[in-house]
Amino acid sequence: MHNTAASEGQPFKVLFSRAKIVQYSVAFITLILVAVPLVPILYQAVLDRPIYDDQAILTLENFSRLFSNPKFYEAFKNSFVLSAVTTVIAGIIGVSTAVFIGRTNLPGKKFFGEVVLWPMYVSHLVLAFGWFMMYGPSGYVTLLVEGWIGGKPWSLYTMAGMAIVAGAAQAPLVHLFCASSVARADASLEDAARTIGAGPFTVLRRVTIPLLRPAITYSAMLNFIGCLEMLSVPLILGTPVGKDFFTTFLYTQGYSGSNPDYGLIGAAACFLLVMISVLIFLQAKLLKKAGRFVTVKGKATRPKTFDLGRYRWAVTVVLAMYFALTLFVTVGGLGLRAFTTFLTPLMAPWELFSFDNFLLIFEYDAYRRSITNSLLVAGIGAAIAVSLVSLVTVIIHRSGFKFRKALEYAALYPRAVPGIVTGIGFFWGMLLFPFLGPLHGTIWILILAFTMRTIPTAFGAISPALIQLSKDLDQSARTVGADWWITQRKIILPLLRPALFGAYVLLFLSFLKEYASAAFLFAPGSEIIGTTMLQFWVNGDTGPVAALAVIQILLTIIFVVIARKMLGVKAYG
Amino acid sequence: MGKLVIDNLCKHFGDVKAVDNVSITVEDGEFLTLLGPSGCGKSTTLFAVAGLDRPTSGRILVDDVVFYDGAQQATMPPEKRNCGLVFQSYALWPHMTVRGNLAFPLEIRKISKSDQQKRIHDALALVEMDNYQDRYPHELSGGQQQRVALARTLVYEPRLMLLDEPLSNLDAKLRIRARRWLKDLQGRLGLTTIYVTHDQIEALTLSDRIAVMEGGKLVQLGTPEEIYSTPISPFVADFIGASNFLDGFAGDDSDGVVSIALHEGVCIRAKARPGVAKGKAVRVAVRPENIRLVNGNGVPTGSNALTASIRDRDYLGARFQYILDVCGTEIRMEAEQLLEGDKVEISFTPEDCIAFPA
Repeated sequence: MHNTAASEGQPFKVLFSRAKIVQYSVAFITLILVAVPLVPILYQAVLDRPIYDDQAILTLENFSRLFSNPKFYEAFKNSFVLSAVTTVIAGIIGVSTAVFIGRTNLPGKKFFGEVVLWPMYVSHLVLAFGWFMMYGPSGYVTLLVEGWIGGKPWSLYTMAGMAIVAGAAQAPLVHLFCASSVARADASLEDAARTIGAGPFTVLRRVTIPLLRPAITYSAMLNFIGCLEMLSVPLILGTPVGKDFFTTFLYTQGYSGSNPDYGLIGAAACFLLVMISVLIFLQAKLLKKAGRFVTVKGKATRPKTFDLGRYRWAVTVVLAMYFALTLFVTVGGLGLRAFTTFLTPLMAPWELFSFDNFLLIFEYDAYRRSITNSLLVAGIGAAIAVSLVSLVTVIIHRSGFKFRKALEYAALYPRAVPGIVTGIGFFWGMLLFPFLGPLHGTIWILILAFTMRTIPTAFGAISPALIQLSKDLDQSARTVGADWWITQRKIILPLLRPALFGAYVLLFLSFLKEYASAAFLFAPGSEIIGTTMLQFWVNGDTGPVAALAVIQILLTIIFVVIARKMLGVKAYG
Repeated sequence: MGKLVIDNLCKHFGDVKAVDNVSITVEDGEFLTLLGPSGCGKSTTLFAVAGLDRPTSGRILVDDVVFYDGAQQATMPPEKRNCGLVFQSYALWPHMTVRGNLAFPLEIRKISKSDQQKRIHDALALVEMDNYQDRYPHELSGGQQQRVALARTLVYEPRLMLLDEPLSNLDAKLRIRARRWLKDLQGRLGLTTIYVTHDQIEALTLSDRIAVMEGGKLVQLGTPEEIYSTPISPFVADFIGASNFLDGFAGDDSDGVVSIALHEGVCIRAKARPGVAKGKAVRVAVRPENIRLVNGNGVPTGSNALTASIRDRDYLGARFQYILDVCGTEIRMEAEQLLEGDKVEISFTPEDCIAFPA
């Protein structure tokens, strides 16, 4: 190194080029965004008093209190059991729908192919409410069946019940991964099995489904982690019978009276964070060796469809029943409940028809505002998030930025941060960092928290498109005289437009659905649909809950239709 | 306004020396071709000149402006170098029309709208694409895209024109037309041009000088005639054109022509490259097109004469290619007539064969 010469004889080594300014600022913003919720949690976990208390001193006592808390062990056990069972249920449903819809001559598979993804557009909270209102202890369907058989037919407030609800909600993810794997599968692998004498069902069992293993493993890992950090189902169906889970433990501790135990919550959130980080690390390790299952080779061959023969209609009926019971009844039930004063099998719903639930929502500022806030958060927030993440993505993939590997780690880390932990983290962040103080009670703190949560999602939506763009396109721009920033602005980002629209749609929908990280962050003035639903539910007002759920679903449908028509974007699949 | 000096350029990837101490001076207005098999470092060298690939050490200067200086750790970013690089893939920006593609470099240079229009028109007229201004790249054929890519580099009057295998994606017929047209254009514009290819015909027909590279090293630099007639090594002899190789031992030397004992007691005479010494093993290169059949007039005086057995004959349409066996070595020859029998008398002059130290 000739550092002395470097400082003199260099007419063109610029210390602050535009590229560096953009790269360092984006990296800095990303880092701050990811660190804001994490630092207070890690800090609070080792403080003996609330984070805002100047007298607080460092201690490890919070962890010893956490580990000696019997409720925590119960939560630990319950969370793992529920996650495991849910993952299995979601896996079985998802693989079945992917194979039957994707590869067989099932009647009506085009319709099923659409319907199977619908739960992804709906908040898990809404789905849980739907199940509760139809299949809960005093649910419409439960009472109906009770009337026929004369006894309690089932209980939704059990591990099995919750696992079915969560499993049905998470099955579309498995379907999505397996369906794309199934559709791209190399037909010659199956043809080869046929030529050596295997029948169609043997091929399905011995070749097709085993080749789905990476898709199954990957989606199972995602579902397991997703279920560990899920708040909706445990909260709606577990807390009424006193069952505690990680997330509900944090939620109830955080909301317990006027004096929440900050240290304990910090330690518990910290524990959950570390555990999920470890799981995600293991998942990444596990999937490194996935090349063994590469099913796509250069040549595109169209996979054949399996002939189900005389079972065709039987399978159709089973699938139709499944979608009817898990989706149409639950969501339909929400609709029914929204337009009635109450719901009972003893009276026809049209006799109880009323607009009261909607009138109530539109009468009060706070309720009305939760709808407009949700739209603002989704509309503005998703745009901000996509803008930020698009820059993060081009810096990671298309720049000589010194810390781009570190930036990628920072950008992907939020996968390991559950929604409820994000909420607690940002809430404490507002107490700890003075610059966040003014955001309290505004929708901006929600936008920050949601953005932080969805960086990995947006990154995942934009990255593949960017990787497909030939590097020649930026290099040619550089040689004709464009610097890095002009190249990104004029060449790369415009070429990414379809992927950016796709990411926007995806983020808009997830911002509209989000509730867990908002639970600790909203204040009068910054309510969103999810938090208002939770408040109504706590008070036992299921009518307005259903009405808000219907509104959220309607908004989703309108947005999805507009996105498809105007941008040609399908959010999923 | 375009003299390029590449001085001791190195590019290492760990232990691999992709470019190993390459020094070339390209004169103003010269057409220089970097020729070599894939992986020889020719594209790396070109990209180092363009600034897209950072070398490990060495210097690159254009008209005494430092592009890169390893000793001072100084690198000029690619956008400041004012080079015109035509990519193998053309790299036309798919979201811009032909006009947009050409306007982009002009906008960066803050050239007025009216001036832009004139320049775009001129550049496109030069490549005969002026009627396609409003087309998008995907609406053009490969040959048209290639010409637009060239126009895009010409439109801002670069210091250097750098071409990275620009004809390799064209079909054979189009390639020949594009070659002639490219040569004509370069002659008219007088732009200093560096052309990277692995196609020897392109190199021979287009270049003022050729730099042959192998394994990251510059092995020979010279005019096409020099490279073809006096290759510096068996590698060059075989890569530019084709060569047959005969192994033997050097004997007496007179006026640069050495006698060589092949196997089975056969003797021939060949031009000796430096390093050939009496009694040492040598490798003799003879081009197939220089081998003649011995006809009724007998062997020309001073020529080498050999008897070969015919191993195989391939019909090429206008001619036949013969695979011959000379003293246990396989050589190729082309002739117009169909030869019967399995023996043939051949001859070649000592000037047409070159002996390299083996």
